Amino acid sequence: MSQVTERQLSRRDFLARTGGVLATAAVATSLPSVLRAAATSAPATQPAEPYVGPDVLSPRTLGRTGIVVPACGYGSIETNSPHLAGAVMDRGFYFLHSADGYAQGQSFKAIQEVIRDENRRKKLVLALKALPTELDGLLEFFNLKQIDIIVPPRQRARDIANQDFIDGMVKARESGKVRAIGWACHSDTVGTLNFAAKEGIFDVALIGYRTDSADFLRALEAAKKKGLGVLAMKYCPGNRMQDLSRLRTRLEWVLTEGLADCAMVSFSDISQIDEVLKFKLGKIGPLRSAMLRMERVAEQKMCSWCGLCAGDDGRCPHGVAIPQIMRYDFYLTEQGSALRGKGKYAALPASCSAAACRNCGACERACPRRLAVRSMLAAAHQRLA
Amino acid sequence: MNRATLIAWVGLAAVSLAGCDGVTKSGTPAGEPRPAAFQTATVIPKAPAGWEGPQLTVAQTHEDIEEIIDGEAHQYYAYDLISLTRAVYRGPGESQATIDVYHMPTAADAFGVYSLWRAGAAAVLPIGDEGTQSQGEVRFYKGALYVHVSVDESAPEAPSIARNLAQRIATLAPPQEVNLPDMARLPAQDRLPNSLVYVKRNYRSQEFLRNAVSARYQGTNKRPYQLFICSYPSAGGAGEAFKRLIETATYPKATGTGWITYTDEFDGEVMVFHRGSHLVGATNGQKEKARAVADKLEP
Repeated sequence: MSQVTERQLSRRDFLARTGGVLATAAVATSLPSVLRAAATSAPATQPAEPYVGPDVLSPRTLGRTGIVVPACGYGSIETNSPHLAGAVMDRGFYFLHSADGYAQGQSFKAIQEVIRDENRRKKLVLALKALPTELDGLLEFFNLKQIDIIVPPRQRARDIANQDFIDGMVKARESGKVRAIGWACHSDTVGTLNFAAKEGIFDVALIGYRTDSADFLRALEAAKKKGLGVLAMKYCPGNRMQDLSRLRTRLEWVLTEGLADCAMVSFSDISQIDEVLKFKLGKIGPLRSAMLRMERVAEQKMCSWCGLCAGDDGRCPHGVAIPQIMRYDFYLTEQGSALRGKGKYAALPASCSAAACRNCGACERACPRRLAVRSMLAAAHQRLA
Repeated sequence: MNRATLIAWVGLAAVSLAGCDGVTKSGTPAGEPRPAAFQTATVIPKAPAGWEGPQLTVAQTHEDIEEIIDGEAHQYYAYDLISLTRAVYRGPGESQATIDVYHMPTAADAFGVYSLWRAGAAAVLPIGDEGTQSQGEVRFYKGALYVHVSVDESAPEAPSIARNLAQRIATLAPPQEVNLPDMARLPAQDRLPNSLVYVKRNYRSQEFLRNAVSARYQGTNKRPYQLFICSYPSAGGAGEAFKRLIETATYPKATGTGWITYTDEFDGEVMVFHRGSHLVGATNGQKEKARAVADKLEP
């Protein structure tokens, strides 16, 4: 397929196109900033032609932001040289995620160095774990006019519900210094996603996929309906590059059943990039889908460690560390790791163990799944103690 | 009593001697305790006056290690991390101190990890084999242990608490020499301070460049350059890596018997010599510096 260049446009086409842009601009100025960003940016970044290329680089639109990213973004936590960052971008992974502490600060320096090249800079989509107060410094450091996405770490729902945090983030987006705002979370993912679904303030979430529970998927679905763009992280723990088939399966899952718009991958050397580019990401088969559904039904009777039965410190009113104990019991009963489950339980102070339960029932009243928490705790104590 | 059980008991006894409040022990993939992980617990100090703890977690499997240090873990896997022991202390108010002891297979690996973390801005601290301090953070290595001590800034006298905890660990840590002969082959003259590093795998992000020691130097034209030596178990291994380098080197490049020059986007002209079981290189056009090091090696 041939590309249409400006020279080949007829005057009529030209007027139609520029008129469209002007109309978009006129509408955009009367819209709130979130919609304005989508209205002004989406048409410009839509892929014009059907995509032909490696599956992991197939373009996807990140929720309502209109930002188009490859199916796999690049998490630069291991990037300690510009050689790696440059190779990553040159092979098509133009969506980079970083934070100032990654690889002892070398990740930032590597990105700074590779985007001195104008071609790379034009393609780059950059997501940073950064706060609004850091934006000016970051724009100067990377020599950019706008950061695409900021996702500061926020592990609990109340952290992203904090009004000062919200005000700062929204103001940053309105200032145009950042295009899309969100948060990164690998702890209370369900709680933070539910908040996002309810309020519709945030554009993007970088979410730890440590669970594929029904609660988690429901929360994701609700947040996505509000236009949230979802970036998946931590979906393949362990030494992922030593088990490429597992990495491929997990990638398939997060990008299909797992509802992610984009999954972050990471490399520690240049040869790994080509291995991942070879992946063919098919849909999950009907058998695996059915199994996942059954698992989710079963999980309705399991604790998801949401922590709603406990206070901010993870303890119930009588000091029992309910979510922790349930997790340790999971290690023992579901993962078959008695050493791990019992070891962790033994490390809990006695005042936080299930033995400290006063049978008040506050946990069961707070549990969204209406689980019989007290008897579950007692059983866990018997197994773990 | 079988051997594994005996080791577990000895280890637990060691932890008790260290005066810890509690220990979490994670299983190895095979479910067998490994003696190395227990030894690290013996260097964990008691809580400073007015503090509580330590609460100990020992992680050996990738899953457990990642639960503690998350995505950073891969940087330690590159040096074959054996175990991570985390000790947490609670101080006045909400303050907290955390000690992470990384048990590496050798002192060279511990130095390698340390050398990656060594920040130019941190002050050099005379501790262990080498260390630095920045506010309430101390990093050092001694023998096969790499240690990171971090005390909340909210804690009163955080820097001195961090230093004291680190000193106590350094006293207890067993000594071991760094066995990296190539380090001595890099000239000391004009070497920039704190620039010596050891990269076990993926040097310059290439999986075939291994066991690299490198340092940065002040060039005569004010442009710093890097000298590096990669070593392999055999001349054949080095030869194979040299072939891969020729294949992947960026243009313009030129090759001769046992040498290559190529132009790197970030490092200017790079020259690399193949000498026996070594590759020796220099960046930013410093061919003669690389040649001087290479010529001292066995052909």
